[in-house]
Amino acid sequence: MRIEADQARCTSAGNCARVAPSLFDQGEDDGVVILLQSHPPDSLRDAAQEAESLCPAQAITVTDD
Amino acid sequence: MAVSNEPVTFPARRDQTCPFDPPAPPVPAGQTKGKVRIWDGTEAWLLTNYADSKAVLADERFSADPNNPGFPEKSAAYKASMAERNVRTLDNPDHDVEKRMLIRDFTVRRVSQLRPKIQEKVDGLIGAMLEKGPPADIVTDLAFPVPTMVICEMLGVPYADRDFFGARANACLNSEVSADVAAKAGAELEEYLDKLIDRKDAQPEDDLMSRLVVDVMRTGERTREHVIAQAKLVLVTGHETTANMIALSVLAMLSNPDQLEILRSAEDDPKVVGNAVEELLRYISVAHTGRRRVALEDVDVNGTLIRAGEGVIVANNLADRDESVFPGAGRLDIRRENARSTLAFGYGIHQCMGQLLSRVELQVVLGTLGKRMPTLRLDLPFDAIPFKEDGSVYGLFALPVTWDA
Repeated sequence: MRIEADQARCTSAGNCARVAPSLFDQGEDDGVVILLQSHPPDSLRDAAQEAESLCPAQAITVTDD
Repeated sequence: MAVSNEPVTFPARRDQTCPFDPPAPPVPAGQTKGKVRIWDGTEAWLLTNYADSKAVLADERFSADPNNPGFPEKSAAYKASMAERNVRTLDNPDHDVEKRMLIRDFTVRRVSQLRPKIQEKVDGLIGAMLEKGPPADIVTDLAFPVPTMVICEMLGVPYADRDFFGARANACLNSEVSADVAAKAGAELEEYLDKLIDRKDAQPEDDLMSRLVVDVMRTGERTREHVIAQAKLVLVTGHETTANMIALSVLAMLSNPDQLEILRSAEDDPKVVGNAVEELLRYISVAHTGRRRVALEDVDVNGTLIRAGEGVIVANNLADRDESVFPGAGRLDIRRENARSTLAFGYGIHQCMGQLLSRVELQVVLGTLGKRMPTLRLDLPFDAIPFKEDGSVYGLFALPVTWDA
């Protein structure tokens, strides 16, 4: 599994860091997404996909690489 | 498509025998979209299902700027008092720039740091109710004080002024208030914030208004009027929404004993309380007059052409009752697995900035009430509870409760 997080699209809503804190963080001042793991273990797939689906700016992509 | 040429007026009043349910969607049978008429006599599209709602809110060809022709504003009051340039009304790229000036206080990390402080406030308020003894009114004793205290502290607005700004904020959001009255209320809030800016400028403190004054007003990056507009938005939208959500959540739990039992037996388990809050957000959906947009160009929304200049109302509260996404949607089920997919806070770049804060306030209130007031119950029959349906935020005028002292 590969995760991409597009910081330019990110609208700092923080849903990703809320539902998948082991995969995503937010910049202290601007709230912009910080991807913590781009190739996480499969056990985190549900969390990654929930972050992808909840992201209001559609800035997160989870693929099967 | 509609057989009648005359679109139904939106929003309709609720059926007070089932006050948690939105009025039946005024779209033709079997359809999920249709034209409705709004308060100013103009027509707009009403979208009622989950997929269309998400699609439009995520699509920046739909503008949130009420200054664009065809924008279906919520009410005369809203139009007169809430239309200035701020994170609510700006489209991108301006929106994200403005939001990043405000977001520091609303991130996941910052909000979790605030949790102990919120807990302390909730403990204090519930402690005061217990000490005074039954009965109590959840609305005035708990639901309004919690978010008001939190937003005051964050923004740097004196809590002692809550009656002043509370009444004016209410007028700005009230669809039964005239444009003149709302404009006056809005202007009085602006004057108030203007004076507060002088105080922050003279003596900056550790709060959002001081930061805006020091970081963007003094440097000339933004005007004083702009700082006022941003602060006003946070103040007006920052307490009434969560306050009514707290009150309605307590009522929903008390009137669903099986669900209340699940919550109580979970003994403040953060997972159970967290999911209960998501489900309550979905089920109640206090922002019940929809998210408003206008199409900037012709857009095909899942098979329906919405033309440039046409207004769109995304009924997020109806989308949250979409059976294809939330089976048994009319039932409160605090163990619902996908409750987190709620559109109560909207979607897209304008998703509510205070959503994380609001969630934590709700979690702390529900968890603490369950622990410290286990015998809490309504102090009047359900059908005598005064629901508040006169504004863009659904709510309660009062929630009388009692308990075994």
